[in-house]
Amino acid sequence: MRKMITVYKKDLHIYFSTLSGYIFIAAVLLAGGVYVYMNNFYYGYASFGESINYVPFFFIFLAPVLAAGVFTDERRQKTDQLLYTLPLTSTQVVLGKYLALITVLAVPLAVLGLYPIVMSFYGKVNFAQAYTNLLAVFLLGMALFAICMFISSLTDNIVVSAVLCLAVTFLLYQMNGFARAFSPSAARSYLGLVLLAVLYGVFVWYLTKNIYIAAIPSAAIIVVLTLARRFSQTLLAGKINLMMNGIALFKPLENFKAGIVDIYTLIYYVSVTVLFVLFTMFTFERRRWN
Amino acid sequence: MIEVTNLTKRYGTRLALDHLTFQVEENEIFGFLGPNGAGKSTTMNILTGYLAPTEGSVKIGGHDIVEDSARARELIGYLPELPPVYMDMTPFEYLRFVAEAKGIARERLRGEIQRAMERTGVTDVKDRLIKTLSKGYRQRVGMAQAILGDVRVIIMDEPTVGLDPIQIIEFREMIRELGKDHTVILSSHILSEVSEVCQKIMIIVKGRLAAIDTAENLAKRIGEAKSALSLEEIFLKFVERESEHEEDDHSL
Repeated sequence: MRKMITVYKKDLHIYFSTLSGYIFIAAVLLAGGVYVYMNNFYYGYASFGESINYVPFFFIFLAPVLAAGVFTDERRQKTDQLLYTLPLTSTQVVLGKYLALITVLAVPLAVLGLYPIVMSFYGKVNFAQAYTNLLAVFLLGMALFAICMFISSLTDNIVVSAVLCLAVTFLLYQMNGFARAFSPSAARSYLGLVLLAVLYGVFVWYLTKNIYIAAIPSAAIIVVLTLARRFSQTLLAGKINLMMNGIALFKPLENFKAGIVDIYTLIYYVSVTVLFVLFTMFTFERRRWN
Repeated sequence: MIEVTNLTKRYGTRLALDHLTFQVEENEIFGFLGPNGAGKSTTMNILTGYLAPTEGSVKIGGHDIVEDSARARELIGYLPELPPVYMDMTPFEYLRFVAEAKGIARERLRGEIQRAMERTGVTDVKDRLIKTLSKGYRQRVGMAQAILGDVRVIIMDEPTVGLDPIQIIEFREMIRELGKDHTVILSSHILSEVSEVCQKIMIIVKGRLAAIDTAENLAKRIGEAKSALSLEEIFLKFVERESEHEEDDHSL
């Protein structure tokens, strides 16, 4: 625990002694401030929750600013050699680093959290709705940071890492729209799902470098898909949209709009976060074995 | 103190280390010598737990570097080829981070950092950002990091590369000083340096152990011109021999 806090303090120190931490905080505050000003103060809408829901759009660019370098920078400066040879476990390193990211995320959101209180001086504010929406934005940020941190653990090159992070966050943002615009036939859905199974196999192979662990589940999925296609012409129609909806990370934000904490959405974001933090621990440890 | 048995490392199909076996005694200064790409850095990276071996084992003070990794790593201080320093920190902040990560108790922290800074001569620059320091000072900060805490073994990969002659002499003195109460391993391509400070020398060529002995004995084993042979010449002999072996292997 103490060693994890050591890594946490070190990373926070670096975010605030370079510009990246301040840029992130300033940009989130600016985005939040502009929308609150426009919606609530200029046009006089009462809902803070609605204004705050514009902020996640900016995470597409801002999450990579902070998270794309988490591991890439260590490797570029060769300080990863230090992290690997100090008596630290991969859990301590990855969790310490992740918590530092989340702290920087929490700072501007905490400041934005003061706005509903200010607004309540001028009129009636739906606090439940305001704060559940803020929570949803934070949960989404947690998941995005975990994903970007994982991407940064895959590559030595900061440009590759930043571009990949940006591409992934953008894709996740657009996925909901893609899913709606896309109503594939059974044949196309089949091809799409097979492609996903192959991509999954390649991804697992990249992580484990073990052809069996990678190929067997992918092959099994493809066999099942093929059988399903044989069995019924229409069974697979539209099924790829289910997958697309599953990874449309920004969409579940809506579930908090009414001012209630949607437990499924909460579990969804926390699961994505935990999954990618675990992936990162795995890739961090695996580099020793290359 | 250090026991290396059948250490082998493969990168894909390339064999970087080929069944390396050697021991390093307590409080010995031990030198790795070999041409570029011989596997010196790879060996050090495995000894310190940065890389895992493909085969074989490494024991540091009886603790296996893979099985009992954290315990083994507590005993090691490592200065890689490039000092692993954070440019946006001051030496003091950096050393505090390393000291905490090494698990040094809070009440001993300041004293321990002070001691490491004095021993490596970085006290004057402790509050300047590392990115503003010269190569020599960065190397010292890297060294201070390595000797922090209760380390028994200090491993240095080409510690004097890029330093000026005065700094090299100071560094050698520091290494000799550390060798009194630590086991020290260093690699270098500056042969005179290895003979100057090391009690025992290991020559690695193409990932294989070519010879391991004291400088004088190495000269004797060559069996020619004895002491008239400089270390450079001894070294070349071993490299040549090893290359001949290689050719023999191919002709088989």
